Amino acid sequence: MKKNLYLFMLVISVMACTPGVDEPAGPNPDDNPTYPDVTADYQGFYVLNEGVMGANKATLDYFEYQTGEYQQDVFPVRNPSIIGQLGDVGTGLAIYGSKMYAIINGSNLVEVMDAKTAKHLASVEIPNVRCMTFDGDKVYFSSYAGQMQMGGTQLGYVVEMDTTTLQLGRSVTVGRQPEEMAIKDGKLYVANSGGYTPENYDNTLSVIDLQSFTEIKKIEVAINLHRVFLAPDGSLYVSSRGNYGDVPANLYVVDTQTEKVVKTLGKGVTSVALKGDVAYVINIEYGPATEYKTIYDYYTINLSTHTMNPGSFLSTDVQEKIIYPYSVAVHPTVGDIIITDASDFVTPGMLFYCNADGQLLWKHTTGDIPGSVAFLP
Amino acid sequence: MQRFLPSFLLLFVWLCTTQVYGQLVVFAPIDTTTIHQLDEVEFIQPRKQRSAVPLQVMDSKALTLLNTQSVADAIRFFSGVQLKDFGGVGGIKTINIRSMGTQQMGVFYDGIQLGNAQNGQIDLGRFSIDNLQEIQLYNGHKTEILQSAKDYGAAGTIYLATKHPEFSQGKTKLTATMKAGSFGLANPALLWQQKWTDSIATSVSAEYTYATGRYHFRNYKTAPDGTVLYDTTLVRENADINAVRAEAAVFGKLYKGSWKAQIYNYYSNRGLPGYVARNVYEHHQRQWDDNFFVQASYNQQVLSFYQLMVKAKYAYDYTRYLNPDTVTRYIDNTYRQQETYVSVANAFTVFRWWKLGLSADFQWNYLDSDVQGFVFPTRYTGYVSAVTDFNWNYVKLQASVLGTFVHEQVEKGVASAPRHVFTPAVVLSVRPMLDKVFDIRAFYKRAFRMPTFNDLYYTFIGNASLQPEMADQVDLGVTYRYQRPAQVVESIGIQVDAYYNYVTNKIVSVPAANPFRWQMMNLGKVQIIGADVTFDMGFRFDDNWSMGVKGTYTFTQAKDLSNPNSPYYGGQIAYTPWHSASALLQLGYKGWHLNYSFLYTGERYEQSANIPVNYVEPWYTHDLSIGTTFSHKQMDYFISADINNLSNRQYEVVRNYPMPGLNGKVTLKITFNK
Repeated sequence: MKKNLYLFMLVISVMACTPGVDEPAGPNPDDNPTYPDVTADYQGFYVLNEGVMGANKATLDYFEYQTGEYQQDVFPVRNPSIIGQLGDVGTGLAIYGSKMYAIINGSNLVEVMDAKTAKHLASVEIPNVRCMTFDGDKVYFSSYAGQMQMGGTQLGYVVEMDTTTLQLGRSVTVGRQPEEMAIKDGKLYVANSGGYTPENYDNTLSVIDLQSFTEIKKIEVAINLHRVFLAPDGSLYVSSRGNYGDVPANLYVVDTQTEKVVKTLGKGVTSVALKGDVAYVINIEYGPATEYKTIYDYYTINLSTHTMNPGSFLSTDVQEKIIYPYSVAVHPTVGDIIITDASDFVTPGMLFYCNADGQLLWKHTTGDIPGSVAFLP
Repeated sequence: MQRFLPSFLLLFVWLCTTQVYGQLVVFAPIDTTTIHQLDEVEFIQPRKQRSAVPLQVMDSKALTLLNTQSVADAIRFFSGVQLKDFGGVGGIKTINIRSMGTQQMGVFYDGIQLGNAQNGQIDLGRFSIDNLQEIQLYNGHKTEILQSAKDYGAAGTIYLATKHPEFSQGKTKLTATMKAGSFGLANPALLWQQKWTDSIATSVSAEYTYATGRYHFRNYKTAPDGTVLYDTTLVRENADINAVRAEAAVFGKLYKGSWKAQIYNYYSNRGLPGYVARNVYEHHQRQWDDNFFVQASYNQQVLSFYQLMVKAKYAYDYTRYLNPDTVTRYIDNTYRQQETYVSVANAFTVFRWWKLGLSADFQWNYLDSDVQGFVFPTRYTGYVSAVTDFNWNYVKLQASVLGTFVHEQVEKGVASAPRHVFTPAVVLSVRPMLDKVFDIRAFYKRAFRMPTFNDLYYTFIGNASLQPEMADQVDLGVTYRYQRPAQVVESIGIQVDAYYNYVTNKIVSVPAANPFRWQMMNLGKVQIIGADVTFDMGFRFDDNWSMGVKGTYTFTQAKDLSNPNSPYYGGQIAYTPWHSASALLQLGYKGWHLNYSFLYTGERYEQSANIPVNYVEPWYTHDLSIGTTFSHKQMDYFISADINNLSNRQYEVVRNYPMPGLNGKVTLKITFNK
């Protein structure tokens, strides 16, 4: 028996020396002495896995830098009494103050947890809730499920919630199928996609005055708007998904003073993470509909000059390991890069943890469709 | 073709003039069933015909005594099938044979295939057993000579045969049935069979099904260590159904021939109960269907060596899907499918031991919808089959080839390229001892399914460049049957098959180039190794007491070989148990019967990633039924009480679609003869 074990270890070590299998399969802080530096600012991070619609398989994973332990599906263990566990289709995760907010789109609710323990604090019912953004003691959620219009199209809305009382407050109707939001100078900018009517996408950014909580303007940008993020200089970045056909995805810079598109970057944004004046972007190029061929692009944007930097932020050997890059996250201080791989969307995904230079440090299996990462201070 | 056929016929006339014809059965008819007068244990039915491919049969009496609500529920007692059941009276129930996929199945209603060019699935939950004479399940295809080209098409075939009027005395037979039970079920049916002349009879049948579909289920979760995390009882909502089936048929007898014409309509309005998820315990989607068809067939022994069969059908299928829900996405779409089908089949007897068949079918399909961006596809399909059949005393050998020619048009965009596919099959059966029903069988068959209109053209997800999905099957099996009337052990039947299937170009949905828009691709590969076993025994203790037992066992290993780079490569495909089994026990005493049935589905996974989070628990159910048949004056009565899922087992066939627990039903059937 022991002899077999030695033989096994020999085989393993031989395998470990073979090129291509030498990356660590999971976190091992002992082998990576760079980790303890990280723990000074952040204890770890959570990963929200979406799960396909109807599967009720949204799960929450947690990685702790101190122990190097990656725990899968922590929610039911820490909240055994919650009926239905985390729920169906977890599309957004954020930590703000001492709380963590998980958008569970298919379950029509926002699960609010204690950030440190992932223990349930409240679940707030918002039908077809999509995205969130924070400002002061308020959090704003966009939802598809607003007023029905004549002809069967439906408007979306944005609702405000107090982060202390966790009570929903004011709401305002916006464009069709609103997605991401950003706040600048007392104004909330909402990307309207119109994704339910591909023959007639929405193409506007709704501007909400936070004082009166009314829509004061609509800025025309491009069809099927999706991501919205702010540059340090106050410029607003808005991405369009195009029409998945002849109109390609694109990224626009909107001047919040003049509220006009001032620049077009010419590339799409599937997922984005910000650190200082750098935006890390995953872009999935839409190939011809008849080919199962997808081109992935990992680029960065200089948010001061509003130009794309040359090259890729991810080393090619990591790129080659990824099947379907789904989201990017960047450690706010150290700059380590996380890429989540949704694989084929119906089997578990993979998390690739890289250093700031885009070299792989470790990887770990996640739940189905890992889509959001939140760092725990 | 036109020039070829007459010379072909002449050749046969010349070849056959010195031969003796007419004898169709070459083997000694030892394996035909001996019919007992008023035998209560016909329930577990021996096979009537010798089949060179695996065949399982359930006849009208078996169906009556089993008393299931639908064809889908009855088919669970066959080996080698997996039922996908979304639960309840109105829930969709589809059959998957030997793990090759629902769309590789052909379902025939009175000899003509039921089509669904839109999504390729036939919901067997919609076919009530009320007007059925028989259900046959073939692995591969039926090996008769006189059959349509389409009969050779599917990887596995189910034949539903409606009741043929039979009059032992009198000219009128009127049957009224009422079923009522759990889920608010009320299910009256009427059947009127009339003999007009010696050669003309008619049958009219109508049925109404109403159910609220409501049932309690347990929603619970246990931790990996077995402790219960939560456990609550909920009610299944939006599972109601209102359905009306009406059909009529005229049967004609001719000198050495027969004809039949029928009209069928099924209307339903149902709720789609949907999945159960956190905070999602009720859905509001509804579906309306109207399936209408008229069909006719004509069968004639034209010459002593030549038999002709002609069939024709027109079908119109309407579906409206409504999601009135403004929380998710408001959808109100209507689909209208049309199908026209004609078939000419010819069978020639060259020698007593050599027969040939040549058939040609043509089919037209059109799909219309108000979906945005719809392309309005039309499909023209030609089928030509040729078969040669050798039937010696010890050996039966049949080889066939089917050519399928598909041409499509769309009103917008690009149509799928024309497809020409040839699929061969070879069937061999050996009977080593002529005086014993012991057959050794083997077959090889290649089959394919065309991508459906949804696969090809559905807005965004459709992919017009899809290739046909291929399935290769190899089967080796034995059948043994022992039949001794007037003995305690009246009959023993054993059928064992081992098989290997390989499905390539499997059509799967993947997030091709955008996570927001999935697309259909030919990416799947599945390798299936399996074994089907059926066993039955009939006992007759005395004139009053009889007993029948039947058991099936299915082993399936279905490996997903789609992606060699996946860490889950080779995993068992979704919802395919390694082991499943069924058992039936039937006890008869005079006019009384007591049925017990048991179904078991072993552990399985909901994805090819065979990991704990995807594990789906095994389940089993016990059903009990007691009833009596008796006659009084001109009336025959059948009364039955059924209790299903006796142990109130809480289970799911499909994850998040809870199945009903303990439920029951009573049936009263009165037949009037004059």
